[in-house]
Amino acid sequence: MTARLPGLVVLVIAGLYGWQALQIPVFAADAREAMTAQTMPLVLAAALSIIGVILLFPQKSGVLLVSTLSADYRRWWQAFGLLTVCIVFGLVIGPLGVLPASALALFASLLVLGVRHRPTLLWVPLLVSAALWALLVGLLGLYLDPGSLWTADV
Amino acid sequence: MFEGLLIGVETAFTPFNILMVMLGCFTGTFIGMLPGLGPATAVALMIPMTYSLDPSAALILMAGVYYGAAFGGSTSSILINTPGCSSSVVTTFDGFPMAQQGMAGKALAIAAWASFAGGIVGAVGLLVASPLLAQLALTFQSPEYFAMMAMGLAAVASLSGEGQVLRGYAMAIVGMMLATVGTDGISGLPRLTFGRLELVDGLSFLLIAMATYALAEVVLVILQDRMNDGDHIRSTRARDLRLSRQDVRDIAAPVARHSITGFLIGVLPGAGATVASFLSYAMEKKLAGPNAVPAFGEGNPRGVAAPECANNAASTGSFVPLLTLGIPGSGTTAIMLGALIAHGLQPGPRLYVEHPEVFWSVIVSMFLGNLMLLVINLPMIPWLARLLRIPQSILMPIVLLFCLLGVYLVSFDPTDVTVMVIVAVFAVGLRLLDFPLAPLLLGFILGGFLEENLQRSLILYDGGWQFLWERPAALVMSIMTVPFLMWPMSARIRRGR
Repeated sequence: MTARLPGLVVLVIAGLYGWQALQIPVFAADAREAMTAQTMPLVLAAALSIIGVILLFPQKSGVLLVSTLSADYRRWWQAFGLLTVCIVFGLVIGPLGVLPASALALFASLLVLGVRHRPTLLWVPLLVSAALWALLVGLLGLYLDPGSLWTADV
Repeated sequence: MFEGLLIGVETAFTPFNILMVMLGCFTGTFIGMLPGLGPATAVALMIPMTYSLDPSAALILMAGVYYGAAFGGSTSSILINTPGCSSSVVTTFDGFPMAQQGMAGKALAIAAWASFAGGIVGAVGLLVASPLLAQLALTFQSPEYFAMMAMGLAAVASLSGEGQVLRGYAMAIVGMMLATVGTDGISGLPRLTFGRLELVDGLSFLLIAMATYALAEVVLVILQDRMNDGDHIRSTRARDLRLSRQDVRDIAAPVARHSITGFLIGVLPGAGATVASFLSYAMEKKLAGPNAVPAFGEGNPRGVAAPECANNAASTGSFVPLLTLGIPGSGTTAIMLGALIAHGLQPGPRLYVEHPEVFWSVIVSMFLGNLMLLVINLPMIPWLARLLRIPQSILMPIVLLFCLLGVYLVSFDPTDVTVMVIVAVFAVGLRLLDFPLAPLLLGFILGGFLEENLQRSLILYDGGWQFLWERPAALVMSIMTVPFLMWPMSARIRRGR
């Protein structure tokens, strides 16, 4: 079953995309043209479906990298934790601003990856965020919003 | 050509652009040394920084990062038997045995000199071939562009690697599917946008590049347990970094041979530095014969020199199709192409006419960059190698922060960060199922242009496909596409037997 997984994934993508491609509106005046807004998406969906069907019948040389995954469940939690940090960063950057959000994201990522050395947890986020801020504002001249939390009228 | 060269020298030798070359070489060397993060990731991480630069400086910086990362990749191959990127995998075969025999410095010096020679030969080839090819490509119209993009996509997909060809095609198509999101060029109406205003302009290239090449790579390094704690890194001493006359004599011929083959392989869309390094190693091993002393795989200096000069020459060679035809030959040059498009430039023959300063300055900067790698970076290798001792549990969060800020600072839209996470999860899944991601990125970049040029060609020929055989250049490129398309089928038939 795992050997057929790539083919199934490709077929699902082709099916979903093809279904969406059929919803693309085509003007009556364009319908007779050699190429409409639907043409390329439908051709792509059809081509991907054909490849998906071929991939359903894998040959011996097909390699699945799933087997290279770590058996250590903590790695999965770390990966999940880092992605969560990314989403939280997206949520807090508006109110907090770039500098504090960056420092917090770094601090949280270090914690997620198992760093417990206190000076590292303190200085790496502070120094790296400050260096990035200096690079972006000082050298590249970008304007960085200080964050709505600090600038909102009370 | 001479006039163009002068423009290039004038642009590349400004203090700021020299600084960009230095910064690119240094950053590339450092990122390239980190196992798991190759030139593509290094270039992707640099894109946000290039947005405030002029296009020449941006391309010079990215090119410096590219060959710097190739140089850095060989350092970790030799010192810790962990290639920084796929093009330096072969360097571990003889480089690490040399390091184990106490000749780490010699192996690094051979790699550096071979990379320098490969880079310079590549840059000379680029200097000669690019204007000629660009002038030829200036006569191209929509049918030729369509045929050329189809050929480029087919070549990259079909050279995806053993057992990955069909998956490469699948990814190129998925990339083209992503490119169809946004306003349709024919009707002018939004297409596949799910009614979201954010998608009317299409998906962001930077977001896709960062998600697939940077964030997904960080997640995979963790999931595949490729993080090292830096404890087992051995450093080498600066005084070791010298070559004897005998060493130079030994490597001179392989370097000359494989600089040229590397460049020619690099020019082919899809082949790239990895193919060049493997091919040159195999060729050199065959030429040396079974009685080579020391044997290949047991620390033969020719086994380090051949792949190192070939991969650097190929990296430089891959700029030929990028600059002259607008067809990237690899994932890394695909990222550069996307970045240039974001700068409002369309790489290809028009770049040669409309922005000669960009075209020529990047070529000239390569001579300077390769010299800097040798003169500045080589003596710094022992110190740079110490950076490898920093545990990856500290380095990975920093790379992650670069990805987050890179995507956010382009649009200032926090939603993009969430979209990047979703795309990265999707990319990790695809990588684990052994799907190559370079064709996806290439399909995404070229998909829109391919559709646009097909539309124009069909309009020009009243809906007929005769443009594929009535125009000589389009016919040649269409014929050249056929073997690439037939390759996966013939491979399956051969394996079936």
